[in-house]
Amino acid sequence: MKLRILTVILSVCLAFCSCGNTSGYRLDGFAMNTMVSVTVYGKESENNASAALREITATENKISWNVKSSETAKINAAGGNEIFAPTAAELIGELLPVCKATDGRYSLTLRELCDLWGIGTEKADLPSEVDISAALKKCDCEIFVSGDNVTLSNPSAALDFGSVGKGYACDKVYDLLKSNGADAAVVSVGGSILCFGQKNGGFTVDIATPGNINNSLGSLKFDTTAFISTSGSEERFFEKDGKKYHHIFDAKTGYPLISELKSVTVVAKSGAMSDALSTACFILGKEKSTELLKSYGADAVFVTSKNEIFVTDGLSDKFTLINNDYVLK
Amino acid sequence: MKRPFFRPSDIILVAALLVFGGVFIFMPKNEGKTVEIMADGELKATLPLSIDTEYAVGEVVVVIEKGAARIEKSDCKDKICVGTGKLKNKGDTAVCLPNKVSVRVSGYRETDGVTW
Repeated sequence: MKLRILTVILSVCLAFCSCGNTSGYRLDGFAMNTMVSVTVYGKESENNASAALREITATENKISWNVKSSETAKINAAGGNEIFAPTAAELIGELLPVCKATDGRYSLTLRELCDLWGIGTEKADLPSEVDISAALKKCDCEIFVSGDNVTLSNPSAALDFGSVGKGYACDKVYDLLKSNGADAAVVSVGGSILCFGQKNGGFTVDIATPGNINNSLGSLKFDTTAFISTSGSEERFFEKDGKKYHHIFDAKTGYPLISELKSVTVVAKSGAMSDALSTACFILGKEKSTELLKSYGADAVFVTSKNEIFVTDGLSDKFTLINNDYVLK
Repeated sequence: MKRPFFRPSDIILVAALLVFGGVFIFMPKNEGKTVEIMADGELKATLPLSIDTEYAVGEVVVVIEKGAARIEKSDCKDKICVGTGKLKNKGDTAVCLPNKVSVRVSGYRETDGVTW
């Protein structure tokens, strides 16, 4: 009889325990000019969440062109001289092959062009062709990496990690959570997401409907660590004379890229790569992206301007359509 | 010795199951549903979805009415946040990026993140 009572007590305890470990500790913040959210599960979740937020800001301070003391700002102010910049050097080393795969249409030195167009700011406007070609000349630059040092071939060019900074911050948080032995976590730096470790029920990450961050196009399910990023033309743009101008430029023309796609979501092995590949795939289009994705072991969800959705093989069992204005092919 | 159909300990077991089972079955579905209003990274307010109210963060006005929250007014250009409409289910979120304000319902099923 005593044994039975004990069993009852134990099973009730178990029932409550299994309820307890499903809720994580969440902290929201603002960094890299966007919303940041960190949810950590398991032991030390509060400490890990605040450490993760700090890590994101620390990463911003290291690589943002906007932060005066950053490696990037130092490189940009160096007038073509070699600068010791270990973080930038590592990132550039990873990214240059992706730029090359787009035939230079994806570039890390378009700062001048972004300033000229001002897309996403109050002063966004259609520049003159003369101004665009002048800006393109300033952006035309080779980046040399030697060990921990970085040199720009064109002294008037400026490096800008805006296309990969959010994903790279996810990489840094991944390293931190791994060394702290966290069980599971979800990190959002704007639209760049890290699902870390393993938790009950896995991870559900929604892809926003292009043009409406508050509406879900579809949903991706992951059992374990994944890095997810999206690039699209409906995220930041301005309209003039009934024409839309978005924020992803073609480095060859100096104009917003003309694409058959509304957006590309990429799942890759690192955050910097999911960010870089989503931009590169948006530039390349669906057909030409296949090879690039394969070479990085990455997968993608393509959304075309005809509201069709194409999912690569690695994600076909993970993707569920939610928005019925779109057709899954 | 013949085993009785019910032992005193069985009564304890059945009673325990009824009590705890009842707690889970009769828990109202929108129990604890709240609206979290964040601004510039800080949690400004956690309001119950069940009480009609109005809450302003700077120029962004959040209204809770008949069990749903919405961003009623904002001074931003695109008004995507206002266009989002009613937030009822857990995870429903309206974001006004220009004002760095987010309104999110905590409730039952929710996603871990949104990529855009």
